[in-house]
Amino acid sequence: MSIYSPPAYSEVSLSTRKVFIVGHPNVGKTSLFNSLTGSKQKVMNYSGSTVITSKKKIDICSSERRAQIEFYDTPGMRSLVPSSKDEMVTWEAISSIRFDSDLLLFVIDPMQLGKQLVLFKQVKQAYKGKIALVVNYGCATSPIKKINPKEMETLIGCSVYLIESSSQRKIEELKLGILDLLAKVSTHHSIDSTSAFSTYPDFKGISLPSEKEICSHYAWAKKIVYELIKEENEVPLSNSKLDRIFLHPVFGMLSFLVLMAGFFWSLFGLATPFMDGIESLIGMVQSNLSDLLPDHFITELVLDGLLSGVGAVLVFVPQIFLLFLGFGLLEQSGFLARGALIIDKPLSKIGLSGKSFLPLLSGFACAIPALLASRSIPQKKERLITQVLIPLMSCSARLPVYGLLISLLFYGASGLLKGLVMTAVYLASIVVAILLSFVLSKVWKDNPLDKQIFHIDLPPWRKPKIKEIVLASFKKAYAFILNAGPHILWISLVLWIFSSYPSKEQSYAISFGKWIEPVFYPMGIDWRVAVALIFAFAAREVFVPALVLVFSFSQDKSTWDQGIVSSLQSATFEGTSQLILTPSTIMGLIVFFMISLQCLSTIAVAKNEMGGWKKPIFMMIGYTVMGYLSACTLVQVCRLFGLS
Amino acid sequence: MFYSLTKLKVGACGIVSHLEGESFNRCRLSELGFIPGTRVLLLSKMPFNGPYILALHGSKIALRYEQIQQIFVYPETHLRGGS
Repeated sequence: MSIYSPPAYSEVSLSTRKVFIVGHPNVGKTSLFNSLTGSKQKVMNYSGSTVITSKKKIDICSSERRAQIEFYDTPGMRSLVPSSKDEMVTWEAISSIRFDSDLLLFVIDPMQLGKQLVLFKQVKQAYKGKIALVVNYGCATSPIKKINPKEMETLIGCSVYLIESSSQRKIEELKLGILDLLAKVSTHHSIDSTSAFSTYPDFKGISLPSEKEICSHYAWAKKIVYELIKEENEVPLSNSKLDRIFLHPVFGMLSFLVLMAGFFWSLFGLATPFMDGIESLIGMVQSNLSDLLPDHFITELVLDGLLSGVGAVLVFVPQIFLLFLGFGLLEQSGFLARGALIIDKPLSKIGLSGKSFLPLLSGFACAIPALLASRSIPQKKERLITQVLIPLMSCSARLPVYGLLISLLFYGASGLLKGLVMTAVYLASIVVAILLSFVLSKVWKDNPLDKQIFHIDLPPWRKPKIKEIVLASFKKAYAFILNAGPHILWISLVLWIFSSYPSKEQSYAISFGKWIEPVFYPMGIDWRVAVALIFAFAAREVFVPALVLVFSFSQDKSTWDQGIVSSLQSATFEGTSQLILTPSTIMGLIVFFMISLQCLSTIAVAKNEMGGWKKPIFMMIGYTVMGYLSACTLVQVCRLFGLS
Repeated sequence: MFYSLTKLKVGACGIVSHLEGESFNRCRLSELGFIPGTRVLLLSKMPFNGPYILALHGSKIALRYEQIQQIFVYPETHLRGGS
């Protein structure tokens, strides 16, 4: 499109116009946002999946006018009154609290016309600006009769557009329609804040619409639906075949447990051949390079330090990829919504909600998206407990650490056995989380003002888009490498400097390590492991390369050629023949990593989600102390029972 | 004669008669679609007073037992015969 406007063009406005895409959860707002802006935001089938408002600017031109429009995607809302933190985001977006919007695009699912028109009516009454209705036939799971948009416009009193997932033409029509509508808007508008309500505990002094008002809205919507479709829209939904199993009182829980166990089991089992492949590849590269490169300290740094370090983390990329792949399939199919309500009762016994399920599960990949996902939990206490438990869900950064420690503990054992032990470690962390949750739910008092009710909309079962999920998983695994990579590189460099200056025998690393060593005696480790542990506070996955580096710089090179695991296995306390990494010590280290909070990024995100620095910092200190004490206790108890 | 939704059998339909309890909860439930005259189908109940899965207004929704206790329904057959 030309950027030079001929005289016939009229600018809609010189400033960027803001258009908000709102509506119930799961109606296709994010899909619409993607179609309009050409973005590739991930679309998920679980209500509450858009937790941050995304925005993007595009230019729209027609034969008469053009404008720069900023589209905003919002989390789904079920009511004008927010009931959870993510609905609060939408409310803030369309009231004048944070943004001034020019136009609202209200998206509805034609299969739930009646119910969704009720919210539309409420928003239309409260919002003083322009609003357009977008009926999304793309989210219909069975063929239904298309309504006449012109007829609907007369009945409702605002512009109506129909869109389908396959039709780009309809999207272009919508864009032109938006342009026309914006031309008629001269000033910004917002929700009249005296008529908009909220009972979110942090938003005091406002009330809900009355039952009578809601009933009259429903009656209005019913009339409109009958006029348009000329038949009862109330399709009596029966249970689909899958729901007959998953929502069955007994088989539901069984299938859920089997599926989740299978998910984690395949995660560790399926990945083994890929992991072995990567390990041998790295080894091959190392030996080839050492033949080619001259003997120099840079060679030493690159081969022993960087390559081993990077290799130790790269080995886990297949597992991380499978983790994201599994999540994607579970999300898109609709399984996660069912999972949430299957375990709602057991979780509420320990102070959580069924809606805690997705955030906690996400914590196994990474704590940061998990913390953001916890916004969809309406009840404050349940949300807070969930947020506190997220760091206990062993994130993907701990995989390399567990992997190395388990290899040391079960030296020479089969991949299958190691997979089993890995699963056991994850289960142990879940048990610790359950115990902590139970304690917290008893200790923290219920807030009588927090009266939110629990409800889950069950989306229909959908066939997951495999290609889309595989691509997204590749991207996430790649992002993991990109995030972990620089950490490993700079820490390896820092460690190498620390271990080589002023001299190899009396480096900074040695002095620092010996200084803190006494603290770690009860854990059964020496200063070298201690130094690696401290560096792991920058990023957990760094523990493995840090350990490799510290040992390689302080040990005889000949022993190092046997490979990381065997060299560490035979490492002894300096000047003695006593092994450092004994079974009890290794178990102590596993427990330490399982419990301690060693991720500064988590603290930063938690500050926003928990409202302040106090709770996250207390959480970090608390978990680390708990980890240290548990590890020491375990090691000492094992020694008492004769285990080395 | 109306009764609590907790007494509805799995697979049976009821017509919402009224809501009881705190006004805040009643408003929320109304917004979710539980208004007088709405046809509700009970799809499943989770064990040990777990969530109930209902179908109404063309979609499926799950609610906790505490909220189900606040919803009162007429059996569908009663209405058909009564009028």
